[in-house]
Amino acid sequence: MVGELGHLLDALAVRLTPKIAARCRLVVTVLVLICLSDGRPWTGGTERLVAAPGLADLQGVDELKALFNRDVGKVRLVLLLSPT
Amino acid sequence: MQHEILQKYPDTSLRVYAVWFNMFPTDARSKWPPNLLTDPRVVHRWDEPKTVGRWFGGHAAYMRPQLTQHSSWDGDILWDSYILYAADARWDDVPGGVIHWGRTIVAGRETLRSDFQKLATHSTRPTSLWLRAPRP
Repeated sequence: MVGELGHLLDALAVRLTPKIAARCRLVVTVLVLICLSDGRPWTGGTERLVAAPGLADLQGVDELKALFNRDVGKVRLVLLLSPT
Repeated sequence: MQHEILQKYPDTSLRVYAVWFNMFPTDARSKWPPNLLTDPRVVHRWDEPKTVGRWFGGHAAYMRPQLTQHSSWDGDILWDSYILYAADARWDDVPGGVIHWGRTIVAGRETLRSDFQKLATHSTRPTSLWLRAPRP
């Protein structure tokens, strides 16, 4: 996308000074990057991206027991929940 | 849970097993809320036959003394409930090291919050007595 717009600007550049053409290219590049980043280009790394968790089928109580014993050394919290 | 516990204590060495199953007629796996518990320390599992709820329901007697003050439960399938275990707890015949458990989760949340506050206070000392399973 940046490249295509760049070609367009190159074509227009015959009528613009090189300095103005370069500035236009920079502005277009920044605008495209903003669009590609969902309109939030300046998070500055302060937001931690968290992957959506998955929901696997439990393979019985034995799986929970195995997970529980695998995590010895950590405080563990079992939550028994219904979706609604 | 996400805001009051997990986000508040991000450095606590913790594993959460969130076991989901149907209890209401309106429940369904498709209604599982993926954005409710997003902390990477949480493991989510779907338990269609409610085996874990039934198992804990059938083994609640041994941990009855650790039931939180405002909780109550008597039934076959334990649900809407939490069980907190010490770091050195092991599961042999039954999981040992129960610190507290609550039902409903809302009814037991003050105790859970208090327990995590103690945990955070003592977490700089790995050998803390608090992190060990309570003696029978």
